[in-house]
Amino acid sequence: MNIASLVGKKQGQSTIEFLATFGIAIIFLFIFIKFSLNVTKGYMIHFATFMASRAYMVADNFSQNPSSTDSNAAQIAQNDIFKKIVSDSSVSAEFISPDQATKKFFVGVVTSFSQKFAFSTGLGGDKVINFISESFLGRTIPYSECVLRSCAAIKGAVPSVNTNCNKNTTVYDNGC
Amino acid sequence: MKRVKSSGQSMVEYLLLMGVVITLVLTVLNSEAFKKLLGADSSVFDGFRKRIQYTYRHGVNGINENVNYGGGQHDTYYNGKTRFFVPGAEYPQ
Repeated sequence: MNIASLVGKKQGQSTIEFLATFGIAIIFLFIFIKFSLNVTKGYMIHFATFMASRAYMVADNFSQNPSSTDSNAAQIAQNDIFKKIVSDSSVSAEFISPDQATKKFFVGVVTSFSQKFAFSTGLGGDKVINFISESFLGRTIPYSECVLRSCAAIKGAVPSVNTNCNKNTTVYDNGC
Repeated sequence: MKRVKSSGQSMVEYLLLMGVVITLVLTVLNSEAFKKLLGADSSVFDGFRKRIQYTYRHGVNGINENVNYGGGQHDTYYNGKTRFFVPGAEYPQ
């Protein structure tokens, strides 16, 4: 190749400029594509967490034990709601029951999952991004809680009544 | 006197210049400052990442990653001021 013959010619200039700028544009394009994929998955999990929290709030298996009712509600919300929306088996919702919550307004559902922040570690870093979805709708009073409260109310109001609370009883305006 | 040909001069200059340019580019790419700015431990993208994490979780701009459930603190609801809809001032009596 005669280099001297090429000096002074400009036919390749636009091609080189195009390749240089196109490379940078492609890099940023992939950063935003990855970002979009992350938040799209994130918002779907936000939705699944909220729906699971709704199910967890009201599910009741009518057992005699509030703790078993809570764990059953968590199971229903996880399997019948959350997993139906989120097919990724590595992502699971965690349920904070009234017994577990240190502050009672933090009763509900928390979902944590991690994603790579960028396709390439060279541009975008090699750290993962941790997404946390939360929905603290609480728990409504289950049937078993009503039984215990009604029983306690009857025993408190009429101590002479010797009952083991195995009859259906409604105490007026006790929230049940 | 025989004249020396100069047809290879531009090629030599081109190669030397390319060597200098490649050296400069590699020096910049391998420098600690560049790696901190845009490399694997990029401070720019790390700040971006933390801000997205916070915004995703709390629905408001910020960067704090510490939420203490036990202390009852949660930035989604209260971060120096409440995020619930409340009257700006008391109603007149």
